[in-house]
Amino acid sequence: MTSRYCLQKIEAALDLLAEFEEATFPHPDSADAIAALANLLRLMRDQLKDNKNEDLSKETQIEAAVLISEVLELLGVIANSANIRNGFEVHGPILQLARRLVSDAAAKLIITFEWKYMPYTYPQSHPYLPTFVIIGLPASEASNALVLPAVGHELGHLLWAKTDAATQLTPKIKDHIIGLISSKYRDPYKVLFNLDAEAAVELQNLWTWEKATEFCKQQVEEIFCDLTGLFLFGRCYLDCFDYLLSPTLSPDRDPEYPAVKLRAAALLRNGAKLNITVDEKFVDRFSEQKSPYEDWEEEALHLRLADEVASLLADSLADHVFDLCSQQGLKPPDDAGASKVAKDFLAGIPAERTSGLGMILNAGWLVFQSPEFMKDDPDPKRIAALNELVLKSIEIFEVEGMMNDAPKA
Amino acid sequence: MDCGRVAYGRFRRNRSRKLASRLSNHIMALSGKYVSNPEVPGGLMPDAPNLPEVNDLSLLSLLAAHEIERLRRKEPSTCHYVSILRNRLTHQMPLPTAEGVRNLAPSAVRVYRTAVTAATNVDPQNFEKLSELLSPLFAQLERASKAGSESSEMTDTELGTLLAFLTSLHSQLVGQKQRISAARAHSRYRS
Repeated sequence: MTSRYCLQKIEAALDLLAEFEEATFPHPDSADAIAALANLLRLMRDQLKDNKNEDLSKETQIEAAVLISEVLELLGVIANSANIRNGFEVHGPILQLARRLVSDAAAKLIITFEWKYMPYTYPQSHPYLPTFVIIGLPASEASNALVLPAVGHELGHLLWAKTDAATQLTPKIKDHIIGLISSKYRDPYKVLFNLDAEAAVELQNLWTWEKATEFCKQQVEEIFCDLTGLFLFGRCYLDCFDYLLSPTLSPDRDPEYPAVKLRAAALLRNGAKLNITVDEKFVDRFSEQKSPYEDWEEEALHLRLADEVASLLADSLADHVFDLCSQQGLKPPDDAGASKVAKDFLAGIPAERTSGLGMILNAGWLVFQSPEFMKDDPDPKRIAALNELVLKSIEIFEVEGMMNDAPKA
Repeated sequence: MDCGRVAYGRFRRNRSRKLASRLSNHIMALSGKYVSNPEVPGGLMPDAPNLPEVNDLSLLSLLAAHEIERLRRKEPSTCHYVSILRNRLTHQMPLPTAEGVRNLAPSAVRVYRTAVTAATNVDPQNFEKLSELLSPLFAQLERASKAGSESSEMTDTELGTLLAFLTSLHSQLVGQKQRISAARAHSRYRS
């Protein structure tokens, strides 16, 4: 009977998708995502109809339930991508950047917004939309061009996934964690698990540090993404990071993220490698966050191990990320180019013949921080004016690119 | 509240939606994408050249399990998803030697250990034993991925073991997916 119910739930979801298929979207990628989800639902329906094995039928029903739940959430994301709250002008240039970053000409992009105050992404890693990069900005900031450098972090997740960085880094992370358990954390490990450090590597004891590895992998991924954002957008990535995250979004740590102060310090140190120098007090703008665990909890040790290893790997990770981006022929934006664009913005005109998104966004931040720009107006008015200049410049950049690529008569 | 006013305003229910759905199915058939086929029992075309792209391990292991189940029933199967799953697993661990298993993240080792136990009824207590039990399963996956004579020569016992292995992989991975999804819904740091 449950198989029958499951089939009905799939049909209901397919009906809903059919309604969405009639809608128009500013970019075809959103419509393609709906078609891809419908294909998966049909595939699941056919597996269920075709199946005669009871165990497999139950597994399929569970997967179908997860699929339907994700389809509903994704429909919200896709619906939001059609909302005028988004800056539609940025879709083309960001898609080009994403495709170039990972050499994937077939990559698709959905830019949307979210009713949560945090940018997020599914970097071609959403289980049900593997060719799509989905980037969501907080609803209240979706029209603010000054937060666009956050997209650089989200593209970092794409680079992480495409280069299979997690698989490459796992042995290193494990070695460091085992090294720390055998040295600095030998005693607390013994107290918590009643095991000698040497026994940690045995099959039946992997669980004692499994979570440390998972926390660390996730933290290292976030640092990797910050460094990608820093390379792609330069100084304005730091401005955007400061705008979105300082002093901190929560007094408690999320164990899957490095402490915000550690992230800021890694950005400051490694920015110097790209000739990005900023005020030393940049790190002081971020608050210390406390562990969500009590000292006696196993997770407290896992988090300490993850933090130390993530911190140890940050600088070598920066060299790796910068190499990966350079290999794709990408360059960080330079200050001189941004200043040139900023002059146009200060004169109240959009820029032409810019060399990329990075220059335009850096110019946007330079002008926003300039005391000369609309000096008698409050920030909301200044940002509204800047948005027009930045988004129009991005549109011009895209059109110029199309004209250069067009066949000549 | 004006949230989503533009987007949602366009999604009006309308009588023609079923027609549109059929039309879109037809268009996908023309463009060579996945299409449900009413002529084939169960509707799935065994030789459909362009099944939906799947790279999620949970879904892949489920679809591969269905293909193995079809082999057990002596029905035609391209073993398309078995082949993709096999490639994914061997990319992560080229050979299931003790050293290969040791190099995996502890969470991946746990998933393999549970799946091996489900398939063989033996819970390996060390890396050597885990590798010893995993090797024939990888070999069976390799044979099954070669649609045609090699997969059709597999015995019922081999197919049953492989099916138990894949079903256990799926059960664990879909659980992980649900946990990630639930955590994402509650995380203020979502990204």
